Amino acid sequence: MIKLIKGLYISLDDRLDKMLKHLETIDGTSGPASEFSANTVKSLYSLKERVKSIMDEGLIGLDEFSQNSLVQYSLINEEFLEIESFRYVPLSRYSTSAEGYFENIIQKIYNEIGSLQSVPFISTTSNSDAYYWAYPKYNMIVLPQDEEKYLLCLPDLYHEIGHLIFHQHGKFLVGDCLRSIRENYAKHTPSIDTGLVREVMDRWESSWLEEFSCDMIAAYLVGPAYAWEHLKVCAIHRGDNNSSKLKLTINHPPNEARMRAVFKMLELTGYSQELEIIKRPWAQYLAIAHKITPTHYETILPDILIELLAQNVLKTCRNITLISYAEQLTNSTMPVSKVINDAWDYNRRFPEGYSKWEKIQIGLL
Amino acid sequence: MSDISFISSQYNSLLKKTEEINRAIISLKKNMFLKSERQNEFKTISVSNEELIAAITTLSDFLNFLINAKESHSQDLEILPKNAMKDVLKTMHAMSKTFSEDICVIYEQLKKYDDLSVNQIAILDEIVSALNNERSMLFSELRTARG
Repeated sequence: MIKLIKGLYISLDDRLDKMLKHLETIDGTSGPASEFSANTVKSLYSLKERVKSIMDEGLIGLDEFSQNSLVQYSLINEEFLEIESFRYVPLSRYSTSAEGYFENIIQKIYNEIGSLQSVPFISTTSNSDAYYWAYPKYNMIVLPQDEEKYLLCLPDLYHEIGHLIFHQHGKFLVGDCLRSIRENYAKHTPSIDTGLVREVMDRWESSWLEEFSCDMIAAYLVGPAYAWEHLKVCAIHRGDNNSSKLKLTINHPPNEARMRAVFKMLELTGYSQELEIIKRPWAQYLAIAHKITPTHYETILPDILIELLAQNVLKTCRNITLISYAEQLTNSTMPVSKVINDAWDYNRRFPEGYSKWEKIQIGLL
Repeated sequence: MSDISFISSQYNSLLKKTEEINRAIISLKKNMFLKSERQNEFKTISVSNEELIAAITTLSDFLNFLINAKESHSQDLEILPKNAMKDVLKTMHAMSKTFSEDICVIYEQLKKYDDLSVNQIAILDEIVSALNNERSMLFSELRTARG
């Protein structure tokens, strides 16, 4: 066993060396990518240090510590695999036409929204299924391959930026909402099963509050386009919670409730006219895709809780001086958020000519 | 839009906790062997007083959390993600019928800075092993969710 463990550590050290060597040969990155690359190298050296320190400590030569040495190995090995998946692969696939393009876009967006956070690294190594995602630990956002050729999904980039903002300001964004949610449910017990309440509370705490907040931040930053994009996502994933039992296995809140969160933020930021337009196809969509409502749905996700959170998110966005979509329009003639809203507008009015128009707009960005 | 953010926060909290607990057990074990009749076999290892006190604090806080876990309904990612906690406790109870009593005794001894027996250290090793398995499963989910 001792020899096996020693061999594992030596082999890991060798892998770390080879990865570092390959990273040195990757060039052409700039801005956030070069910082991302430098941090990756730093993390790999830090893992090498830990391997060395464990080997020097001498415990891997003692049977009594085999179990702990194996745990230590699996911890370091996982960190290595995490770096490989989330940092090394994206860096190896860096291209100026995709990642380079998004570096300019994200830099422009961060200036327009007045974010004081450091600009994240953008990678296009996701796919249409995993879609857009953020990894706050590494300050990165990952988009599907070829996303640089399209505009309509970009409202979701603002949702992912929301995750990075939530990572830093989550406590303020959520405020006292959790207590209000708990009190609200307490009013309805015993009409709702306490087991269900507990499960729903778990969801609010572990993911719903964050997801709702990110939807609201996105609506605040990119305006009505986010509602259109969400309608599109709902149409693709049709039937989400169209059953008599609320599905709590998913980590995102039900799409219907998410749209109410988006609408609420748009209402609070003054988009009543646009809301009237979006609410029509949304109602038609609900009539088709949401014929059944899960039991206790209105009690579990009432408007009052969504409104409370929206008020808090809006207050926090203003406190951390994030610039709303309306303000961006007065600060700049053509912010990225305006191009995205124009894209949705053009797509709905002239779907046949949209692709040509989109290509020109991307060229201008 | 994917579940990565959610899984990642759970994973990272579990990663931190597994490392902390494992490190603390190593310190207690070092102390135990250095005080035993076999101390000559462990000439290459050492443990400082500060290291030992930190280890006792880490372990007693964690055991206290496990002891009270049943009553707690709140998610505390600083200590352990709720789902992971449930699974770890389930594993531990399946392995030993006296688990609840055992960890109470260990907790009380740690609070009084009493030395633990070989069997008690073995129980702590089992807990860290359960944490390790739980974290590895979460890591697989994290890598799969990434697409």
